[in-house]
Amino acid sequence: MNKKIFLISQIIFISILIIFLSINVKSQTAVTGTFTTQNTRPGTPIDMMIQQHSLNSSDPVNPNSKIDFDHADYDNLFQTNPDDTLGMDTHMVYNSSAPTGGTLLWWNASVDPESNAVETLLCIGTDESVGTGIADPAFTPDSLPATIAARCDIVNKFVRGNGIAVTAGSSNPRASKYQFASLASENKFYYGLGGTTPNTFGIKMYGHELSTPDDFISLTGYFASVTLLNSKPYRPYNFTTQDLVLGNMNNQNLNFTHSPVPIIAWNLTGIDTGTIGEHSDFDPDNGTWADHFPRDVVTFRIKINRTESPDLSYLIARKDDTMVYNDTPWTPIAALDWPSSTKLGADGYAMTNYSFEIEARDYVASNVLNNTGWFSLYDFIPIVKQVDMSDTDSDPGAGITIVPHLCDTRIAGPIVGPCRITAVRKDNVQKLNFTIVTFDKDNDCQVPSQGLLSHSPSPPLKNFSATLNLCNYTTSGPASCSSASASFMYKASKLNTNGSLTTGASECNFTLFISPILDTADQPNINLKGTPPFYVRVADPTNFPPTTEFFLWANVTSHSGLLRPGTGGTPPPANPEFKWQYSGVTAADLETRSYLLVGLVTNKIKLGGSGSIVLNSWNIGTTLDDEYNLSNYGNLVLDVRWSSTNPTCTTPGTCGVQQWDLASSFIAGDTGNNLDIDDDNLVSTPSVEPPVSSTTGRLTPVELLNLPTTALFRPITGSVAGLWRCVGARASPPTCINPSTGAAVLSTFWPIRPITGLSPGTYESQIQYDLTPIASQPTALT
Amino acid sequence: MKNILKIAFGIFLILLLIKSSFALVGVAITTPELQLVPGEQARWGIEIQTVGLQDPLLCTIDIHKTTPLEVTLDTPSPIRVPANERFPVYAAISVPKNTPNGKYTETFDVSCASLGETSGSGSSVKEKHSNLPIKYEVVSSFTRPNYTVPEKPKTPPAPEVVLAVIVVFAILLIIMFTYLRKQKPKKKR
Repeated sequence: MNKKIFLISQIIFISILIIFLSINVKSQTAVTGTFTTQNTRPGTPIDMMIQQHSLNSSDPVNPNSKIDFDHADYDNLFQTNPDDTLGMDTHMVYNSSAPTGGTLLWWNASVDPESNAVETLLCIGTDESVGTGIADPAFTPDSLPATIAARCDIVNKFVRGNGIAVTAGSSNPRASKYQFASLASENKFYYGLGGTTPNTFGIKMYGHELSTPDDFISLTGYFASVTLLNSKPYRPYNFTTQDLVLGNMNNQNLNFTHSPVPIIAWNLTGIDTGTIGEHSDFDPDNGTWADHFPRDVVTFRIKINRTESPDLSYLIARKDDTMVYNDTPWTPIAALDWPSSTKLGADGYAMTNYSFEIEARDYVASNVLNNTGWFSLYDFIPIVKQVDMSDTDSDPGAGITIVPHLCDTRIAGPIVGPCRITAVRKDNVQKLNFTIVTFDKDNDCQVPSQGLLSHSPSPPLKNFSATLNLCNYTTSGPASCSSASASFMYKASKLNTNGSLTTGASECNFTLFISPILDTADQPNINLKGTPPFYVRVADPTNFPPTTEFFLWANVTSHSGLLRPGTGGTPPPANPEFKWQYSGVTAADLETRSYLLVGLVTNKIKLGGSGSIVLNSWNIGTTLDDEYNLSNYGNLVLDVRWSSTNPTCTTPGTCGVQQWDLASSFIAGDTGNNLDIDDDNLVSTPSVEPPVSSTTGRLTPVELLNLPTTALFRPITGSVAGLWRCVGARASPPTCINPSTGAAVLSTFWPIRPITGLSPGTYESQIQYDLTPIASQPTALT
Repeated sequence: MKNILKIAFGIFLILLLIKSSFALVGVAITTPELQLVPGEQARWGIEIQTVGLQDPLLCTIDIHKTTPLEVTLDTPSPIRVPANERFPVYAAISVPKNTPNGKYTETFDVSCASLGETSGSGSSVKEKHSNLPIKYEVVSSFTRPNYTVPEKPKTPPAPEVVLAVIVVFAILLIIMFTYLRKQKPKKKR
């Protein structure tokens, strides 16, 4: 039963099936087939290699140049890296020796099954985990943009649409590359961590099909790392300065320099610790590495700063691409300077400190190691040992030899100080010159080529200069005779010597000339305050000739420009006992007050005025024509005494027997009876003085008699009776300058009352005035 | 144009106007106080300054001799002093051996008169520098060096003296020659 049911159901099923198939075949005449395919993701870029250097070709498929590239993968046909022990490595990625435009990074770009255009999304970061991917498997282009920027801090081509395309037209499957440039972010890729420690960077790549949605990238990323082998050069050490100021610097400490243009040297041999002899090179990248990179070019840069004024820096640079060092001295490009705050030490040395910094660098600015320290610039301030002075010339023709005066009062010898300057009437001192003998411990004076005055190499600034001050007061010590307050000051900016150089083990004696008058190209002296004028008073009013000594302050500077102090203490003062004296000079000019025509000048005084003389009457002359002024052009206040010989007739044939005897005609008590000298002619009778309101004529006239009788007639105004000094003289017109002109210029008139009986004619006498320095010379400006 | 002529004439007049000056000399004492040992000479000097003068002067130096000092001028007074110079006058000074130690002040005068020509009438002017000091200290032995004053130059003999010596020498030669000729023995025949 069951079999029958089974068979029947089978028959029915088959029948229905046949019917169904028969119906369909009959209803259609053509068949259309449809299907859907899926785009395949691009493949993963692979087989990255990095250019090690640019010795040969940059073509990675050229077998001849394969040694110049280092591969990250080891299953490639080209893989024969000799330095695989470090994986993919290179010396550096961008420098002047690298291929044009920078080191190349090559890889096999993604292969798209559908041959769609692809790009490589490339990320290079300082974090090696970027490359390994193991540490950060989630780091994909889908990561947040900020995360990508942070991680791909060297090269960020990890943005879809901004990746690296396959090199156009290239059939080479490796035709994708990235060439490092000098972008700021790529600076991190320049160097290793320092010393010989390599630095490894991470690389991650994805393939991305450009025409597909953004997330259509290779299923897996490519992870690689590259190690930079570039090492920093060793740290320079053992900085030294070497003066070339002859050979007297044996006691020089290495931390000192005397020359402002020091010769600088340092050691390079050794490793960073400074141990000598462990290396024969100063850069580990010495060309022996397996990456075939040639020896690094190491350059040095020295920076020297004043420690007190670090704003001023002296940069000294030199590039040296050889292994040779210490063979030629390095000279700075600028002279070291002395800050104004430099102090003079108790030992007579000026000293200022400089810091130095030496950088040893290979190619790139950041790949440096520094050596820092400091050194001192010093200068011994010369001591002035002796000053000699002269203000007159020798006269060989007359057999006169002038020996300069020694100004130092301490030194005993054939000549003795203080030096003495002779005042010159109505003029300034002439022919003044000084000889300065100095003692300079550090031998600055010695120069092989030019004798004395510069270094080799010559410092461009500040050599020897001399200052000499004269003060004409005695109220305080030499310190007060500084340049600020000196009465007379001389400077010699360039100093000559007389060739009488004496050198010792630590001594340098030489002679310098300062001549305020002589000012030539060879000796450009500066006379800042002139030479002493005639009116400088002789200091000691009670001692003539004077023995009062004024201070003289001489100083010589070396390149530091510092001066020794003018007074005691430490260091020893410049010249505590140098002094000078000023000689007294008596001089007085008698001259007409008004101008005369040349034809009228007679060099004779018109007694009684230039008009007609009336006998037995006072003839007083006129103000303009008959006034003669006596002016004191010396430096001593003077008493003036007057006398006159008897006037005698000088007209032949007209002179009578009557003679004019001043003594016999003199009537005692009858003031002004004969020949008077008066300071006014305002009143017709000399003995009658002009009214008080008059500004002149304060002196009572005196009678003049024949010698030996003399009459004292000089100003009595002011605190001291006498003819005061002019304190200046104007040359044209000749004028005595004095604030109290009334005491420095004596107006004289010559009223006469000739006796009756004189014959008509011309009478002449000889007027004599005696100049006598008053006993107590005043200290005031008189 | 007229103005220019006026100005030129004015300048011409100004140039013709001068001051008549009787300026004579300055006398500077260039030697400070000296030490003298009796019987020994020292040097002393002054300076007569004619700076600015156009005519030479004749100057007389008069030592007052109020102290034991003996002064011997290198050039005896009166001295002709050239114009426009700082003319040094030096002297040898000494004191007699019996001079007591002590400080002294000798005085002297310098009076000068112009050697230039004068014209016209009037009184001439003479200047005298009076009572100028020579300070010295008589000591048994020097306690310090004296101030250096140039030594008296050794003047060559006057030309007339030299000529006279030459003439005398020539005469002597002639006499000797004549005498020798007379003394020459005659040869025997």
